[in-house]
Amino acid sequence: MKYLIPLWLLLSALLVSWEVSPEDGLFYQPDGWPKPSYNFETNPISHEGFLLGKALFYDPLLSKDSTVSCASCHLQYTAFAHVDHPTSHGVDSRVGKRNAPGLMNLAWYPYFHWDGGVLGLNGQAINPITHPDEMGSTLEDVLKKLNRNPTYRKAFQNVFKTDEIKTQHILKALAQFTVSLVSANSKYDQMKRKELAFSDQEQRGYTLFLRHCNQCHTEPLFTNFKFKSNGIGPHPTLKDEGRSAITGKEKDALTFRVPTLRNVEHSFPYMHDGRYGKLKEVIHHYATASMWKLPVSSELKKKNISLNSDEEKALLSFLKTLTDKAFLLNSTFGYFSLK
Amino acid sequence: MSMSALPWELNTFEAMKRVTHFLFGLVLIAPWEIWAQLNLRVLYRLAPITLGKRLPFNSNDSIQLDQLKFYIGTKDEKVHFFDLEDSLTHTLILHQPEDSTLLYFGMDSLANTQGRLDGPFDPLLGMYWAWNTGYIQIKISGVLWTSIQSFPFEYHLGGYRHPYITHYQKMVSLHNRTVHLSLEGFLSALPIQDQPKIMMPGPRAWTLYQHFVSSFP
Repeated sequence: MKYLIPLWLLLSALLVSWEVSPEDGLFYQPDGWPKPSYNFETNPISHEGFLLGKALFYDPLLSKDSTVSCASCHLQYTAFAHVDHPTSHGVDSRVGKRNAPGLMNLAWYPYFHWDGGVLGLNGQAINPITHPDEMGSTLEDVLKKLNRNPTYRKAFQNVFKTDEIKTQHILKALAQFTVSLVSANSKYDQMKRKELAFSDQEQRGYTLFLRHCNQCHTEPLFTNFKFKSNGIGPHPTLKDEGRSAITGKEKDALTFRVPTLRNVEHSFPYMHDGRYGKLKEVIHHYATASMWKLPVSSELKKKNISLNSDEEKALLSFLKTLTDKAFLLNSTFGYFSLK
Repeated sequence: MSMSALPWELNTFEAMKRVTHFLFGLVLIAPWEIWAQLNLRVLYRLAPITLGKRLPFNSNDSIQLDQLKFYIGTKDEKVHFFDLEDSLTHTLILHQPEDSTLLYFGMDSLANTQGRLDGPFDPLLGMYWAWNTGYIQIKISGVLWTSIQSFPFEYHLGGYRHPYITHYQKMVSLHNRTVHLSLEGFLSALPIQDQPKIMMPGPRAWTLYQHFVSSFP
């Protein structure tokens, strides 16, 4: 009996350390980060659920003609963004009107999409699955395909204890994978943990960042999750009114969610419409206030940022420290199939 | 064993179990359920309405409904999905019906955003907006024929953000545990020739939804 309690404590400690290890792919809470917005009680994460969600994420079966998977527009090495077009394309080569954003640290997001229309990660995947410019499918069709697939039926039975796969099971499995995409091991993070130091140029860039950018791209998530106009003006052909499409309010016209800058080096193109292909073009946009078109957020108006070319280079160096190679190359997030 | 298995696919034990459950249902549950029901009938000019059937409209026009789905609730079943095409959805739970009862139209912001994806909240029912978290409160579509041309129409009405909130409570009259929804007023209020499609929350959707609620006695 006297050995039972220490043994139990040891097993518990092992279990906890297993749960929080970044290497196994499951969600973990980095030190010093805020409390996640995601309610894990609605969808407890399990290793099997994570694997099932990963299999669905990489399976084109979710699209109407089984040609496009989630991963078609969200590639791991590009921070789960889509880099070969300004805006992503889906089935039948149809092109959407927004740049597929990178997927990481989604547990902290209070809402999703560039306009913030979707409030919870559990329901988010309905949009890409059913959007005619993305996967173009229907939930009925997806359920039919999955329910007649014995491998998936077995996997869903294992995770959700269900004989019949239903909508909520698909969405929750996908969320178990996507909520686990935590990126918190960049050079910036290592510097914060005092494991290494920035170069002089990176440090200069960081100082500039704190002065000019941090108000909206707030540490440690590098976004404040607010909706802002960044001065690029409306796209010449895409009719995208942004946040006002959701709220119906004039003041929200042409505002979009502030994106995270984590892994920004790899998640080109930039802006909601993928207008800029290079990070230095984005920095140059913010560094040259005279080029801004209306509307512009009050923060940007007040700051009236002006940077010389050395400062632009320093800022670029700092932004590259947000690259998390351990995340981009983590094989536990890579292609996976149940078959 | 899947619950959706056909009778001849069941083994003997499973089949006997199903028969027993069925008999128990008949004896014990069915009378209780009948007693606890509220029926909803959709009428047009005092007759039950049928999808896909052309009906006289205004003085010289005709109209056909292809789809009518909406959310409605009672104090015992706050969110109920009604689909005119599916008669199984035409009955709500109400334990103690009197001459009138309180009905809930649409759902509040919490129900819209809580992230439940099962039962009446299953996006499979076609009421989830997808581009936006939340649910369409009523879907109605069909065709209006005038003497000159036809006008296909489709309205997806809903919204839970101030000031265009489509969520109401109203006392309605009952007749033999049945509520009658007369569609004439609501159909007349639809701006079919001017704006045959409304797919987003906003002032127009909100106004039309009020016409829908007014259709209940």
